[in-house]
Amino acid sequence: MEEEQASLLSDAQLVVAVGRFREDALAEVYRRHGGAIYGLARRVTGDGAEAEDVVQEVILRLWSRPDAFDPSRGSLRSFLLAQSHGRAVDAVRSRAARQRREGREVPTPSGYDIEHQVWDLVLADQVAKAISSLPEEERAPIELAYFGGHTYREVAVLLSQPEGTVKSRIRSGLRKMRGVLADSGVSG
Amino acid sequence: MSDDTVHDEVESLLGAYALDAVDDDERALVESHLEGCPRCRAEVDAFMEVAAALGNSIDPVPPELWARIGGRLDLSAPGDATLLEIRAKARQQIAGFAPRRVGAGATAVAARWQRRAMVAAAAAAAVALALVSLSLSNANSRVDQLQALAAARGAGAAAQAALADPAHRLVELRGPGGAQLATVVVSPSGTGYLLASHFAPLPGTQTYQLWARIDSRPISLGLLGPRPARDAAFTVGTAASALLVTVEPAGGTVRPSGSPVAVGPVTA
Repeated sequence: MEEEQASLLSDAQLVVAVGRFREDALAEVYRRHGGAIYGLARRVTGDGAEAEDVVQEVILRLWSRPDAFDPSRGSLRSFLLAQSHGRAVDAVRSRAARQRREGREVPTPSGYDIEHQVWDLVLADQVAKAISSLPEEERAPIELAYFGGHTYREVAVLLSQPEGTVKSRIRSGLRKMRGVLADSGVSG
Repeated sequence: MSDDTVHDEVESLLGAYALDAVDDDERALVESHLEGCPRCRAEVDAFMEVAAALGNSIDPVPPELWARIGGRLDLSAPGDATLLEIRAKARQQIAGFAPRRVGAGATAVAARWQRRAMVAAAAAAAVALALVSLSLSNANSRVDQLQALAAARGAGAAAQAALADPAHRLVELRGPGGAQLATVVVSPSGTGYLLASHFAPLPGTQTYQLWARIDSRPISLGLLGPRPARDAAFTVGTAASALLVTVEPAGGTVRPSGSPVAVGPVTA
């Protein structure tokens, strides 16, 4: 039987095809988005093997639960990146918990400045512009939380700021970024 | 906590939640609130898009990893032993509608097509029964649900119904440069609906005309007007190998006067 070639399908149609157990459709999802899923997981975990596990979990979950993706709420790329981020953060936190249990020192995030400079190189221009348009007190907690995998409470400790302040700065920073990105057409 | 207090508490957490920077209790609190609060839901969705933009990159896919994932697919699908069976049945069901080239006149085409539809409907019923008896009917309903979701951007009821049928076909109409200009869903009975259209509006003296390629000849399916409207319906039948769109004078023509502005293959 001839099926429509997966490479010609839109992302939303690909997910429908995955729902019909079409492996070529899942392979196409992997081809389109696997690199981004891996890239984010690798940056958050700092570990290639853990990042590969994350990619595998994210893709297998799409295979078994394609209905979890709701195209009316955002793009497939965003959905997969959110999954990748959540799993990468879980990996970082369980690693930290394991190290604490074993009585080992949990390494504090060092070189935060270096890290975010590296990030600037790989971010799309508009995204880099959006994050650098934020005042430092909003930019730092967002980057520590998102790329460092820290909870806002941990960020509060790292930055010696009250938890409530960190919480609200993350929110106001994201709101500003949303405005900048919407204006530049990256996301709305 | 009162509802308002919960709302305020959750609202203050939305940014951190979108960055996965809350603890498990907070996550549970936010998620149960989101189910009933469209305003918070919308804010989180927007923040998730921002987070995705931050996390987006153009890294290459890791080599070799796909082989590992592909090797695990059957294990993670619903029930190892029954998976292949479901898949085979789904294929069989869809194959019942596979378009075939026919050289005969329209009446013969219609008659064959009706017979095929009946055979396929029977096959569909058998498949449905088999799925229920395997207690795996959710595998089927998830397909319906997905199709409804894919169409959630506002298609009409008839187009939705066509999408909800697992045997529908989708035709992507693309311009010469590869840009996707329209999507057509074709129901198992051969009725097509325009799902989405990005054709540039034409002056009133011109119209878009839709054609089916049957036996290498373009057969007019009708005029789409100068601004093709979503949900426009037309009869595609089952013999078309491709759909084409041309720009014609307002009254339409009997054969295309120029090269198509969009083409899409019709496949099962």
